[in-house]
Amino acid sequence: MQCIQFEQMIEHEADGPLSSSATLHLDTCASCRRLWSDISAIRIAGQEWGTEEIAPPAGLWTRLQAQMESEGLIVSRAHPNQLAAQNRLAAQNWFGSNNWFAEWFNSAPRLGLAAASLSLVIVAATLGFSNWSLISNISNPSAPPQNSTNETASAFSTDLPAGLNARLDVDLKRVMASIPAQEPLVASSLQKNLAIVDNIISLCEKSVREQPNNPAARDYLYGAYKQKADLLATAMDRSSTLEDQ
Amino acid sequence: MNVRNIRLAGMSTGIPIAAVLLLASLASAQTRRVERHFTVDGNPVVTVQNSTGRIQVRAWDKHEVMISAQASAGNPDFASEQAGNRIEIVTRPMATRPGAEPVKTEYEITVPADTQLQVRTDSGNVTVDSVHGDMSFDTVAGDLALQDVDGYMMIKSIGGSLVCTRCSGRLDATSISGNFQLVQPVMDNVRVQTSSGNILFDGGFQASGIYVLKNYSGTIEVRFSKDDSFDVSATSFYGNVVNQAPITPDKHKMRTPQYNTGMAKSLFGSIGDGRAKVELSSFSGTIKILKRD
Repeated sequence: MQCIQFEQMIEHEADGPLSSSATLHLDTCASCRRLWSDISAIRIAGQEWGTEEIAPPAGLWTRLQAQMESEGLIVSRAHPNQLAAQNRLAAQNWFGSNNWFAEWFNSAPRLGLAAASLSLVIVAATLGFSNWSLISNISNPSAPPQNSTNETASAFSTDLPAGLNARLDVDLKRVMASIPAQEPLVASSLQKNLAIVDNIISLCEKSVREQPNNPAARDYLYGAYKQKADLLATAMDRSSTLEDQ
Repeated sequence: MNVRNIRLAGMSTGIPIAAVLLLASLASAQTRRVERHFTVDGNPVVTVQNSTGRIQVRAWDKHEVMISAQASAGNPDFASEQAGNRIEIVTRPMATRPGAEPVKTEYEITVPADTQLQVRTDSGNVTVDSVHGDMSFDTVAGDLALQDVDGYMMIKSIGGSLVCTRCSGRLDATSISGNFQLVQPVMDNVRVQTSSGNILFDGGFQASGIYVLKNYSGTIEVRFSKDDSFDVSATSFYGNVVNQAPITPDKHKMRTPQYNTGMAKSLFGSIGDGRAKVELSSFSGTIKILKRD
């Protein structure tokens, strides 16, 4: 089995057990071994975090997918090379070009939508901080496990997805712009509450920087980001409802 | 014909036109109330979707759901459908001129007491009185007033507030800027979170009840009586904790959260036998545990 076949296999059967030929390939290919290790770790993390209250609302991904497709960031069916390029672009847009997830995403360009949907879980999970050492290990598989609080805290400044807040802002702006002018109360309420959440995020980030070892500070920051994600989900929901009307 | 005559001629034809327009506008401004009745057996599930406009729900002792709708202009335009005991009400949007006030549809809905409710609104206020079924509310800016209700209440709002008077059962509520007031609640499971709003819990804590109240700023106020029995954990990360309760060291030796670093103000302990569990947390707000008058 070649690397490309291995990637195709996990693209289609990411949740299934490895075939014997894939296992043999992993024995001889360090790159694919790393990739498989990353996917396994993320899947486990996603399952753990999926049990918490971070599930996106029904239909969120469908709308997000449609939006990304309309922007040309992803396509449902395309030539593999085209898809790979678009996935790379999508990854860079969503996570910035200089962070661990974008690198991981670029290393597995054919994972396509499956990986992109997983990214939603990862975003929430990354903000959860509850298993920070795992996230850090994914970013650098060769690094030793981080057990101490100091090491965990130091990860904050380096591994928080760069520009995530900015990306949320871009999406929120786009969604809010799509709310019709006939609904000024909805738009103004969303804007007002977005400003409140942004202010809280700013205070919580400051708090985490001041007290990087304090889990409560990270909990509050996580909660604030979750509220912003909920706000985005509500805005998307209202936007689509109004469009339907 | 001189200028004066032209003006008079213009007025003479203009007056009837204006009158017609006035009558037309009066006619369009008249609103009609529309009623629909649905007979049910057993406990109905009523779903309401109304973007703007008030929704009032109250219970009666008939096996019937009655919907009374009125629009702020013209006739109310809504779809209502019954499938067994499930009744769905959806307001159809009415086209308005650009810049004109959107047409609001207001509902008065009367239901059997054991009705389950699902209400979704953007900016309409919702009141529910004496309904004893599970209910969920999804609002953007609409406020909720629940009174004498019983059941599992789930509330998700962006900027809406809640006033819950003599509510029983279980409450799970989130808002970003809304306030939550629970007055004389008889609830054994309360989870309330708001970002910038205030939270008031003024009622008894049920034995074995769990009460989790959280905000980022604003005030969390809990009022207790001398007969109350609960373990309390109160932490404000950057704010204050004001306590009037005779708190003794935690009788159940719960693990103390490690929030005591930095500037956090914390309070942990028991009141009475510590039968209920009360968790109060705020990022920068003030937590008050006060004696009830």
